[in-house]
Amino acid sequence: MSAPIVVSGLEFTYPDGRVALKGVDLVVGSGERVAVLGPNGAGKTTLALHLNGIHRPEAGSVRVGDLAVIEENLPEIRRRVGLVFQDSNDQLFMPNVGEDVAFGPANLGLGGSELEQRVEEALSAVGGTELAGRPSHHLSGGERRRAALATVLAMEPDVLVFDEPSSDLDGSGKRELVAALARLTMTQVVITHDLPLALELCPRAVIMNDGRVVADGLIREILGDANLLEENRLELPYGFVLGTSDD
Amino acid sequence: MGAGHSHALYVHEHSPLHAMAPEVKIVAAFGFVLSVAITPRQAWWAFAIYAVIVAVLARLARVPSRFVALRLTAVLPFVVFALFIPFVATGDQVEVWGVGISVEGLWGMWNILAKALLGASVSILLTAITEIPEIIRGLGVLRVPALFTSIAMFMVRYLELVADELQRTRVAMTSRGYDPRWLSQARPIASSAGAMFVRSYERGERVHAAMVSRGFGGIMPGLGHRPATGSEWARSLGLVAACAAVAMAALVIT
Repeated sequence: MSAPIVVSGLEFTYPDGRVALKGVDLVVGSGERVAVLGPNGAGKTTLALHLNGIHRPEAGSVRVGDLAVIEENLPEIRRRVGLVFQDSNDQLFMPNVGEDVAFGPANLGLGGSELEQRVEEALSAVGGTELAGRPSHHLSGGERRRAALATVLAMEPDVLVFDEPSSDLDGSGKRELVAALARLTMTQVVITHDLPLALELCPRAVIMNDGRVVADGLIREILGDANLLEENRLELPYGFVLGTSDD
Repeated sequence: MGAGHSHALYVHEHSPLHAMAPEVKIVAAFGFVLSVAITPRQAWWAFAIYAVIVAVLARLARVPSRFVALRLTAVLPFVVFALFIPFVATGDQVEVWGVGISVEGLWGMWNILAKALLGASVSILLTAITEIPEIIRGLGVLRVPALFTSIAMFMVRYLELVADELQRTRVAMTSRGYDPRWLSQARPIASSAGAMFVRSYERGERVHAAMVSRGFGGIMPGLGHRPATGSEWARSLGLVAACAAVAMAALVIT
């Protein structure tokens, strides 16, 4: 089976002239979980937005499975690749959580009992069946995160892409999220500068800086390289000791 | 800033009126307001009938009269304006305690008071028995263009977030000693309003990206809500017909 995500030579400049990506190469295999680390402004989010065609490559290409990310493939690409945005408030725009979860599959043409079942499955996958009828602006941070994840799971994607999944979560909210993510078996790309979270979830890590991939390897080796982390403005939390066991 | 809390208008109850499909309630409320608006002001008995209808509906919906009365304070500015009319209007005068009052003005006052209060009460009742997203959905069923209903929906969803941001900006200003008293100190408020606009615009872009990434192609999907039943329509249109009959009778008699 071909790798779910193949990015090669990807370049992108924002309309205001800011060059965000300067030739990114990245291959993510089927079922793999990869952390994308890097300082603010490294181009991580821009890369994520290319993975399901929100941005189109200026140069280079992005492929998802056997499909190139081009106009005519977009509906299927968006089914295959689910993006979980940094601010869950951006992701939850419908009057209540149930309708938000239904939004994606309804766009895919599902309806009736099939749609209801999809919504129920997605919510139970994040341990949030009780959230269905609640308006999004009355959820706690952790609940909002899990609801946002459910909206994407309802599309039954092959690849999940998370942009800073742990930002604005307290300790237990983060714990619930990690538990929910660890249960999922599909390919995952986790963009974060929360290094312990990356270590817990992903065997492999990629470091991006200044629009390029500057390191790619086993996460333990990457996080163990103090110089590499420092060069890329990354830092393990004070007092954090990298364990020796490899899972 | 207490604005934008959609539940503030809603009275949580399980009455038969709460359970009705939103579109029939909107039609009933609109028909009622229209009838009130075309009823000639001299037909005071017609307004009494309308008031009884509102009272009965409120009773059926188990909406407390105190709730309606409190919400009615929203029309206070119009009431105050109406109270001035008899003193400034021209035409035939009657004298009350030595003050000349215009008869035409009195009728004008009565007209504004009766119609404003009845119209406002029925709107209060509608929002008390129907949650805002339901009303928006009902408008969609009634073929209000999707562009308008989508804008209204997003406004309801994000108003609280914008209000929160505004509140945080104010706290940040106050904590740095900003205490505006004169117009010349208004500049920071204006620039924060500008920043708020830009932030809301950027949020709009991000929300759009989130929608597109879940397959949004420009049309909001219908999420299979229960359509109104025949008997709901019958009751709603029955109410509209009754109000229209009162209005017609009033037009003919006066």
